[in-house]
Amino acid sequence: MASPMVEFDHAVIRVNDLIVAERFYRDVFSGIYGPELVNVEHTSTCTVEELLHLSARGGPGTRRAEIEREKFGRDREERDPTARIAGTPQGTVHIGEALIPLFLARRHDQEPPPEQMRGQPRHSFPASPEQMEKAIEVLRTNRVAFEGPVDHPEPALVARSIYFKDPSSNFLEICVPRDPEAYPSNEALPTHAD
Amino acid sequence: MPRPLHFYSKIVQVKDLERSEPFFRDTLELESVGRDLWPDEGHSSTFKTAKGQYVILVEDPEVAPEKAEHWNFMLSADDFPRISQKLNELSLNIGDLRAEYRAIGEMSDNYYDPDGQIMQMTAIAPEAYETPPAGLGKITAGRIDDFAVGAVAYVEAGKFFIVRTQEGILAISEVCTHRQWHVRYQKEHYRFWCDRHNNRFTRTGAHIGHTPGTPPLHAYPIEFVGDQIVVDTDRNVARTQDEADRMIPVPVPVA
Repeated sequence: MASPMVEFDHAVIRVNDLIVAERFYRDVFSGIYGPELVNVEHTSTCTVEELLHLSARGGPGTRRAEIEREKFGRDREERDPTARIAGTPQGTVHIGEALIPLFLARRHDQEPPPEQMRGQPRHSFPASPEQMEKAIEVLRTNRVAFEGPVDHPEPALVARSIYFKDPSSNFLEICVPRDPEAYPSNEALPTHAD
Repeated sequence: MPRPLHFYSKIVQVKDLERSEPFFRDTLELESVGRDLWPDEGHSSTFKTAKGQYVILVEDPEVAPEKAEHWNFMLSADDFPRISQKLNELSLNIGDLRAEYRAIGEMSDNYYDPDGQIMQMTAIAPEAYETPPAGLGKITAGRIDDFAVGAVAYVEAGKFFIVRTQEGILAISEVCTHRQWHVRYQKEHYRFWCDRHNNRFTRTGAHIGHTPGTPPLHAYPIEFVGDQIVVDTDRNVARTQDEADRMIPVPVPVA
């Protein structure tokens, strides 16, 4: 019987430079899959009106601050001034049906060493063998360091992978599923998206 | 047959597979695919969603997983209460910290996995995509002359905005057509704005936000009774983008 969990539709990642991250996801993933399947929106607060409103009311991106406030009490805001920021500056990346909200980090996080290309948490995206070749070309063109292609023996469900990181060191993978039915189609982006 | 492009897998580090497997298998009811299917990843356990995406737990008992941002599972409205109850029984359910933002028929819970990572699950019933009318009956908004050309005024009694331009009048619902939150008018920018998903609409309600396919704000039928504007808030009218600028002409006073 199929799981009641239909899909994981979005996964938030922290980035330390929104503009650079948005450019990276647009350039790399639209290069691999085509611009019609990739949409990048800078959805941060854009006006004084919105910023004032969010400061008073909270808004998208404040979930972690709310949880921490509930857990640690308001004195946490005294210790960590960034906890007072209402409305995390953010961008939104659609890669086909996958949604990656980019949240600007509230602190400097330790990144993995530059030479480490593989780790967790990691998000992987499927590719046909032709798209894998395209991915390698796109990464080279954009001077993105990567590991691979790595061929996986059975019983791995993917035959081949390349591993790389976004500019904030979030781990990414493009993989060729062993089952060709898992190759992605070129359907346009969904509409009325959340 | 190829599938729409989506996440293929999410690989997460866990401290103890024996502890995490029952959570993902029995509590979240993900389909268990097997152990150690990825020779390069070390000790791992793989699960699958109904759409065939893989969740791969990779064990590293030496390192506490870094606290990551949340990720979200979609499930059906029928299944949501059962899973939510199980999370409650395990005292892992944080609940919906943004409940006041939700549409009718939209359910969401935040919860912790065994490593303390924040996760989310969401179910959206069909009614969440509807735009309900205010349902407050016929509301007299005021005299026509109370609304100057160029003005946008909120009528609290009926939960709508009266928009008057040179071409006429509209009564626009405050309910956002994306996910039922409430728009507010930004007079500085001559537009409506919804703070839930940052959607924007023109002064006449046409969508100019970032969620493709969202229709214009709904309008309410207007009657002119003498010099009064009467708005029927029981019946909202869906409009296309091309129809959004069609104003209702103001009757010419009889001399």
